[in-house]
Amino acid sequence: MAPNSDAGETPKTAFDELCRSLKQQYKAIENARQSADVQLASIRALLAKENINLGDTLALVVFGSLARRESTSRSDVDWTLLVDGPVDPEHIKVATRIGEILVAAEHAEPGNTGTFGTLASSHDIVHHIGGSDDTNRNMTRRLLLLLESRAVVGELVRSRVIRAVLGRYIFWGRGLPTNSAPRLRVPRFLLNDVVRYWRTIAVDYAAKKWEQSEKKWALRNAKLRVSRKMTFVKGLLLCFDCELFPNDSLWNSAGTPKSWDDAEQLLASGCETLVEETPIDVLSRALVRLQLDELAKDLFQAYGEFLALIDDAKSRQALETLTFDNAESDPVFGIVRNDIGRRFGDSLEKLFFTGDNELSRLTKKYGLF
Amino acid sequence: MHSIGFSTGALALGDFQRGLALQLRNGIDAIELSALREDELDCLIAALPDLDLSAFSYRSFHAPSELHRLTSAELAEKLAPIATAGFPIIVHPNVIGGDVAPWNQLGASVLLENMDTRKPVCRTAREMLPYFEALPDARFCFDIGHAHQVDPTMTVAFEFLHRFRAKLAEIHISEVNWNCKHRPIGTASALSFHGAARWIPDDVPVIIESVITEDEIEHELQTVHRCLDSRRAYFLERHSTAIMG
Repeated sequence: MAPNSDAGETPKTAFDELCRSLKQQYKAIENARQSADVQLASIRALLAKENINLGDTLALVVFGSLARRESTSRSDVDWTLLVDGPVDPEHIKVATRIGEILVAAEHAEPGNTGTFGTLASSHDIVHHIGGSDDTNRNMTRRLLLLLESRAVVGELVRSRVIRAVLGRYIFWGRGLPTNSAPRLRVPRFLLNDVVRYWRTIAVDYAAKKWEQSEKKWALRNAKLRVSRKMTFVKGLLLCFDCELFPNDSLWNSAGTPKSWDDAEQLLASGCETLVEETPIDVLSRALVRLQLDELAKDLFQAYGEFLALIDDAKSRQALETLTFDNAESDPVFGIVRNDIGRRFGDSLEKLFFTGDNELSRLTKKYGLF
Repeated sequence: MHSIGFSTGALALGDFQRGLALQLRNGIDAIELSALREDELDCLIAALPDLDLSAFSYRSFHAPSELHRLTSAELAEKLAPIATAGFPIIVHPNVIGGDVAPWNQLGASVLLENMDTRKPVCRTAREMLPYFEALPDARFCFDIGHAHQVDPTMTVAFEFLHRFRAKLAEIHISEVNWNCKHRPIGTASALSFHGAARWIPDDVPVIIESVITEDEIEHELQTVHRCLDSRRAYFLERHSTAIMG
């Protein structure tokens, strides 16, 4: 029998299901998904050609647009060599070599170190959730692992760390016991970290604008309005899904939980399944189940336009070089801010606040206080 | 109550006679006869009719885990008399080749085992599913140490035990370290196993695969009993003793 491998076929997705249901095509999104799969395969081939073997305790994990399956022709690869096992000083040489290979093949920029382009230990990611040791970088790695990551090599290692992270949030972040029958509940610890991450990105946008003299501020602003918001949406829906769709096979295939321990295990298992979906697919899954067809069309029309815009060399260049003072009159930034960003943001507001009573209840109950 | 015993291979490697003799003691009523290497197979099959296994209410047979000399079909053919004799046969899925017909002939005697990180297959329930689809009568040998090595949170264990619960026929237990070696059960692993014990029905036999010496048998048995007793907290006994002492 053929064994499974890292480079498996892409299965039918919730986004495909949504497009069929809407009888719509979103070319820019489809192109971006294909482009990401091609880029990922190309990186895998490069590593294989260079005979890079990561063994059982390392994973090359990519984040960002490549992991979201939203690559454009100008997407960089944000990567980390994830270590989940015994320490070995040689790991740094492996990471360095991977960086050289990716830079030589023009997949990544040289000197891209810090949060990405280097080693990351599962120990910090799993054990330092909150508290003074949970640095901005550590939190970013952890949340991106859950919200937008793919393994180029070492899927087993990546998924092991993801399960450990989910375990921390769910088994060790349990709510107070109640007398009611065991059931699935929104994982508040995880939700709080998702919200914290989103707010941190927003604050860091301002910090980078301050520290880097407006370099690429407009591109970051555009991403904050659309693609980073999409990632946050995945985080929210990931946390709400068990209460939003309790009868879905994802949550009820093992029957009614007999204990709170079993409920938490079921929650961890279901969350893991959703973690493996891209933000677009998690949103599509919700829209299909809530039967919000018109809203779905508005959301993905805007999102597709955004991907097309940042794939366009001229538009991207304009956003990369735009100064803050000239923003008001810039036509490209105007499109992002007043047209695409506004339509996307308004549609998300409708989805979470008025589109569905239960989602609205969950948003109000868990979203702010 | 689980029937509990050891794999002969864990206690005495290829010396199944010694592995059997070491288990003739109180508290052991299950045994797995192990031929993990191809060259151990013929010898064990030949000796099988003369082995006195009357002390064990549950007996199973572990097929070779890697094939170098035999083909997959040849191995299945060699195992057929063992299946006829009523032994459940533990099979690592990687030895099953493209042609599953010879294995399907062994029917429910085949117990497919989940794998550790060293093997490229059957490390998760999702990876195992195609094997059970291809071998619909095969049953399931759940190696909790392998599942723990793949995922210490035991979510992978949960998925195995819920998805294939109806097929569950045997449990393997031991600590499996980073190098995929079967070791005595450490406390961290024991706590994880204890947390998963509530998903394991009491009537499923348990085979200990911890590679230990004769002197360590009793201690390992006690550890396994504590791991599997989901009705009591794992540390309760020790804690009480400490207070009493």
